[in-house]
Amino acid sequence: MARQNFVGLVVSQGKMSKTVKVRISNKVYDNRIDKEIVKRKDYLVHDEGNVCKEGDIVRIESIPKISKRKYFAIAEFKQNKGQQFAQYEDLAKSRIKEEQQLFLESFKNHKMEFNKIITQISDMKKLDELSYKLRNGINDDSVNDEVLINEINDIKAKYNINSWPTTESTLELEVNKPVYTNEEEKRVFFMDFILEQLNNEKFQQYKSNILGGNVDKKKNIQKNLMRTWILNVNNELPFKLPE
Amino acid sequence: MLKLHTRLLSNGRRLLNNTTNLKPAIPVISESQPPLTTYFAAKQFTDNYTTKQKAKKLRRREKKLKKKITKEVNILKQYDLKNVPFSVDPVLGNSNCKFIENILNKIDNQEMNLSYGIDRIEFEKVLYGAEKLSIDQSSSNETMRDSIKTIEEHKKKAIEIILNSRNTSAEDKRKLATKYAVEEMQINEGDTASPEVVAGVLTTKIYFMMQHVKKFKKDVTTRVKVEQLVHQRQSILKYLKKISPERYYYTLAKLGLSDDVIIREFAMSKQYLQDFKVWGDKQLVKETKSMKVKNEKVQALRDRIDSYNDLAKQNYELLYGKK
Repeated sequence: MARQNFVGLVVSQGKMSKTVKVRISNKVYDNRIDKEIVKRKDYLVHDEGNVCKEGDIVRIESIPKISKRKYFAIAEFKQNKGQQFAQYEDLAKSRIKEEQQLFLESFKNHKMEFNKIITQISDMKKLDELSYKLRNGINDDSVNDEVLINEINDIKAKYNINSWPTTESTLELEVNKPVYTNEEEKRVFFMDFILEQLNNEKFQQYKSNILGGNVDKKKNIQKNLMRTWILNVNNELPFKLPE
Repeated sequence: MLKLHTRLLSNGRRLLNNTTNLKPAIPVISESQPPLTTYFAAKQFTDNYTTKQKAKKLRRREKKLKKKITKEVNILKQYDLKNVPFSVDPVLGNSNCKFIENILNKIDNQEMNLSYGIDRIEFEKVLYGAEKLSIDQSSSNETMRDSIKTIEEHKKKAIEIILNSRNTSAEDKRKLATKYAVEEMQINEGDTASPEVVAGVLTTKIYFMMQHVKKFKKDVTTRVKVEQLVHQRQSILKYLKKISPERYYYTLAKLGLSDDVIIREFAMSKQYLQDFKVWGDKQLVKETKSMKVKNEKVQALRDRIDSYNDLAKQNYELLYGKK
């Protein structure tokens, strides 16, 4: 005869050696309330080797009685969730150590970049001063014009500047960078402008083509339909967008 | 006959699957040298001169003592299992955690950012441009140039003082901290509402509020709010555990929390404030008479078991030599 079998959840572990508590739940029909209710029973189960962790789902099998309350042993793991959790915990710790080192490195890199910019700005100031002196002929007796010119050329070579004062930008500002990088982002940025244009009488025909049979629908629905049409980059707009 | 068969099976039963991974928890020591336990405290020694009667008496005493020790050890074990303290601070997390420390370092770093979210490098560039423009527009007279330079220098110093993070408001600092927390926790760029990000932002909020609570003992409302935030963080992390345990354990390690802190009940009670020394080493909960008696009993039990352990070690060394 086959031994008695159950599938249950490990609810407590580590409190007794070689023993875990496994919860078995089964449905029982209650005649008084006319519906099924869940009944639970906890078993003490023999776990030779202490491998189970809380949260594992295991199959247990009856064995000859070991002690007063222990007459089951673990037969098989259905889901070893609890053991996985312990693994994840160890993994996370090593990952965070690496990230901390990356953080410190980025801190150092930023410091270097900052120092670089500061030296560049001070060099630019020096360049301004020297070129002013050269132009207006203000010079100390000790320094020749040639020395000044050499110094200016050194700085120019360092930052790849052709002439001073220049019209090209030497220090790039973040403010001057464009907000959008591709066509879709550009259309999102100018969405209000495009909708306004399409609502003009000029593009009445165009708008009705986009909407098709939905011309009589509510204003907000029309707007959403037009939005989805505009965000598709393959559809060409009838007018040019501002730069 | 049948009985003998079943008895044989009961010993050393193995798992049906996974038999290779099995390792006994306690290393097996050869039979001649049993493992050291507290029960060795009950050992009664006899020699060749002890009479039969005396030996019998001693044996009986040993049995009795062993029973007593077993009972006491079990009582303490049960007590300790019931009263498990939190493994880390449920509000501020592990003190070794670098999450908050890194964010505060970033805020204080003047080379990285000024207050009101202004980038330091951009600031330097713009001021250089402004100075150059005003000099170029002025006349080429040298004295005028020098005066403009000094004025610009004063301006720069003034702006630096105004934008120093030491002079900014607490709210501005908190906003910057939130920004950094989001950057630290997000899964991909632009992510602002995943459970990890929410937990990270809540942690920063809790930190700043807790600093306030430490300063102002009578501000009960803030204390209550901190409790609410802690519960919110618990619930969102419980949800994360359900959807992705791997991410959950990563977030816990990142924020310096632990699993039991999330699962177990937490209340911002006076007992908590006393246990984790929020307002220093101060007694906030008055010990009742009955509790005092109980605690004393537990302490006495603990001391007794310690003495048993010492005695057991001595007896063990007498029997089997030093380990």
